[in-house]
Amino acid sequence: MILKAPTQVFWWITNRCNLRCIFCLAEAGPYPDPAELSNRQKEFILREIISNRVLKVYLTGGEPLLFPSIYDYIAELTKNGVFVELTTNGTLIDREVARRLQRAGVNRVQFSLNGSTPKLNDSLMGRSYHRIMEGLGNIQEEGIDIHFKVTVVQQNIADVSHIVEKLVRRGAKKIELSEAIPLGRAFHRWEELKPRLEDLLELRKLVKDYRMEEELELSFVSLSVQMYDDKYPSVCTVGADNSYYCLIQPNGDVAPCTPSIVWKYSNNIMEKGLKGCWEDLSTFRKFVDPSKLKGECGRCELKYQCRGGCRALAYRFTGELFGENPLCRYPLFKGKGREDDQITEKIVEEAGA
Amino acid sequence: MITEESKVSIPPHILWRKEDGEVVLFNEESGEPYLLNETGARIWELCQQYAGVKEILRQLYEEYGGEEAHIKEGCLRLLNELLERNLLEEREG
Repeated sequence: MILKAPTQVFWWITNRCNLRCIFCLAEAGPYPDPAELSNRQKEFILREIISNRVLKVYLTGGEPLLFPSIYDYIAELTKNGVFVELTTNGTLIDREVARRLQRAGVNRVQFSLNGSTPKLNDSLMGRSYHRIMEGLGNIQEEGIDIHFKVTVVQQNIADVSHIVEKLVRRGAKKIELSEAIPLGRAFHRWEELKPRLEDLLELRKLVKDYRMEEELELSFVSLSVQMYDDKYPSVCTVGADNSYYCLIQPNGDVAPCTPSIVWKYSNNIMEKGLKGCWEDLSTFRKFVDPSKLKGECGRCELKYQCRGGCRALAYRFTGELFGENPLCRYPLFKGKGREDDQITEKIVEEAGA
Repeated sequence: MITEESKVSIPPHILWRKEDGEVVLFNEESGEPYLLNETGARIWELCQQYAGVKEILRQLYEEYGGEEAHIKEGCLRLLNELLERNLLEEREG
């Protein structure tokens, strides 16, 4: 690793959550994971983050506000110069919680809204819309910086423009639209949730138009659109020397990125400390070896270029370490369409394949 | 463009730390890090202390000796690269 420690850490501080979003990557629920670390162990992680001079921490979950010491942790981190962004569903933020967050010095709160109406939002997240709106108002009253995230699935893709408008009316300055990833709960319902490529491309146009009109930082992250543009997946950089962030899971395992949790590779902060885990992230490189790729990827002429794309997602779908990447659309461009793919001939034509 | 007459400041979205004599800069907005070698790290520290590029250069001439024109060229090149990458701001007055 070039850096001695990560610049930013995504700390998945608990797996408990009061909601049950249908696309939750963490498959979070009302009860903690049995392997979740104790409070004393979490304090050790807190000290590790501070002593290794991590610059930014995302406190995430589950719902991090269900962790009782969250305010003390935020205060300790910010006091030591760490930038803290709290990722919350927003439903637990009453006036007192907002005040406590402000007093603790949180730098930013990230909210999710996934439908412009209670009916749509709550069909995806569980009953939450009104409490999210109330929480948003309470955070705004405390003058805390807010970012918004919308998880794009087929069920809400036609509503995204309305969500954006609603959030802009509520004072949003930064919104990230992010295509759902087939992990956790989303994996189990992927056929139902995965947005159609045609709709994602339409959404991209809308984002471009919107950006020109409004004073809004609106970003759009989509693996499908990236693959459509490049015609093949981007290279998996898991464990690369130039890594600069990592994820700490509720059981203390440190992973290079969210999808990589599917490998269940033990790299535990309680055994090695943050520095040791950081250095050992390079061992994740063993999961990326184009010479071992199987199936369509093994036969593909681009395998040394894309290296099989996101190997963690391919593993999640195939159960094989070097299985083919079922999300790759390159075979379509080569006139070998997969049966389950919804891409149309027109899109292939437009892409100039 | 930053010149000898410019004044500079570090934008609030830039976080940084020292690491074995080098400096790791982190653009909190874009999420990207940037690594400065030891000389770059010293220039960065001077940007904390002095707003004026003239003062930064004067300090570097004192510390490093050698040809001033060469030091000035290297320093301005780095400051302009940092400006281009949104890691530094040029400030009025």
